[in-house]
Amino acid sequence: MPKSERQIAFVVDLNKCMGCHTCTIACKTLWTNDKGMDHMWWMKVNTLPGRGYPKDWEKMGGGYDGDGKLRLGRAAAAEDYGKPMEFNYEEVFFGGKGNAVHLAPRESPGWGPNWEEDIASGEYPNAYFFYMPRLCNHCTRPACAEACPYDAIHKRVEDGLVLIVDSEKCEACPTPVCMQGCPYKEIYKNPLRNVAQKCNGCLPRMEQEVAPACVRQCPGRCIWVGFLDDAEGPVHKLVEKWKVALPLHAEFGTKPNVYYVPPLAPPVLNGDGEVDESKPRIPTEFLRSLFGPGIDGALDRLKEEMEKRRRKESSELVDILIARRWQELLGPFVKDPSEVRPS
Amino acid sequence: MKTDRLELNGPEQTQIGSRSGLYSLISKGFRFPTPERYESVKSGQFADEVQQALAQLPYNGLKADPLGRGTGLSYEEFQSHYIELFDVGGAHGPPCFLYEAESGGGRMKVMEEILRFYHHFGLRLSTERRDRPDHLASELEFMHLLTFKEAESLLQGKERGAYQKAERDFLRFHLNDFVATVAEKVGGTGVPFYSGLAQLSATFCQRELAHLQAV
Repeated sequence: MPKSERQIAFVVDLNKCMGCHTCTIACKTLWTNDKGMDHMWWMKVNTLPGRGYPKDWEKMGGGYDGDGKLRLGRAAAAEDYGKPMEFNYEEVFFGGKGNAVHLAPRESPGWGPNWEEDIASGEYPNAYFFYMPRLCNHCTRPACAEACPYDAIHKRVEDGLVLIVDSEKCEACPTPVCMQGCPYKEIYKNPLRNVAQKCNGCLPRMEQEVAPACVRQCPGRCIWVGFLDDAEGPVHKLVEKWKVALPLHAEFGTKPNVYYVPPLAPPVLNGDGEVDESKPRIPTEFLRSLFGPGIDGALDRLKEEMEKRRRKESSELVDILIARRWQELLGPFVKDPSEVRPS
Repeated sequence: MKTDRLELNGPEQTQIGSRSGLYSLISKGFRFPTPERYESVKSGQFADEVQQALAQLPYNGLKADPLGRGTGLSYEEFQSHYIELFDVGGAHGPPCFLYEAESGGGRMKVMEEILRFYHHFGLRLSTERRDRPDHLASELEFMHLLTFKEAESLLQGKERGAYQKAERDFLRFHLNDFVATVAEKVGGTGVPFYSGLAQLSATFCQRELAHLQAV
């Protein structure tokens, strides 16, 4: 696979994500609002700790082994996504049953993209949870592409986006090998068209210098996009300079390009209800299982820089994370979509 | 918002121009401090410009003194004061919100009413800033526009009653109580510049309302 000259990367600040799902809906309405795509959530926000979407995706395997050899896992099945929710609108609005019926899915979905919304872990009173937006990682070494026997998935040389480029070849594939290869389970099969589909990084927008929908619409200003090698850009600074943005499950071996600023949490309360600053409420061990050994340094740096700001000193890191100018989140993709005419 | 420069003549036109200029200056003072704004406060230029506007008002008694001049604060300290007063701090938010709806009245109702005012006079919220319509600086900027339009009408010999009524009503229903709350919360903190700015704004709006009610 040819090496990309540049790489688009995303950074998500988990301290700022408030779980509003605006990114989810921005993506859904733009890209996956068609037939056969009900279960596709190219961007979704999971509550962590949790089983995620698709259910238990972290246990399905894929990626590369310790020797760098492709390791196929299993593809997510229909029950891992849950049944698309069909609501009883007719019955409620026109059924003449008054208050005897209520709006509800016709049958239990069993699972869904935010099935575990706001469900906390931890022991009372030290409950905790945080939100994690997830999308395709546009990996530097995409296991989906390497697994595809038909060479239908390419990694673009100019920006590193991973795209399904040949749907005819894809249609000919009897087994969803790409889905087995991707350890993040970010490839979905369209059962009606019999093709695999995935996040395209909003390439048609980026080509017009418009930021991806999930980034541009985030009201919490918590997602940055940009080229990883742009030394002056916030993405580079958060990942490479300050090293506070870490990849999710780097041990999968695909070198993902979505990075996360890990969540800080309020301190623990002891048995008397008093604050115990010495213990983190979100167990560092849990964060380490997600973000690897870099977590300790990242959390320390975040705390140090925030403390500097409290002492009324300057901090480039804190200023980047606050993002007072929301346009700084957009990297080079600063055009207003309403000003771009479709070509 | 950008307004063109008007060539004003005579005391009446100059007075309206000064009122308009003062709204604009105070509005800028309540925005997050840029390096340029900090420099202008530090050098005393900001206080001078306020003093200049005050001298031309149709009523007396307002002073720019509480703004101080030549503040010895570093830029980081100056920024931190703003953040601690208006952005963060305390279990229930900052000591003082710069958003009117946070002082009560129902968030939706307040914001809708303010937006209707803006829209009626042809203003739209800036996509550059993406802020709420009820930010104190935006409300002051709106008053800057109304007074500017009043001056323009006077200059062109047109009827200006509608602008005066809108100024009076916007002050009466929104800005006057809002700045009084801000002054009450910030005024007592003694934080350099901002406590003075809040006090000056409250007195200015109070005098403005009295002035307009007498028109």
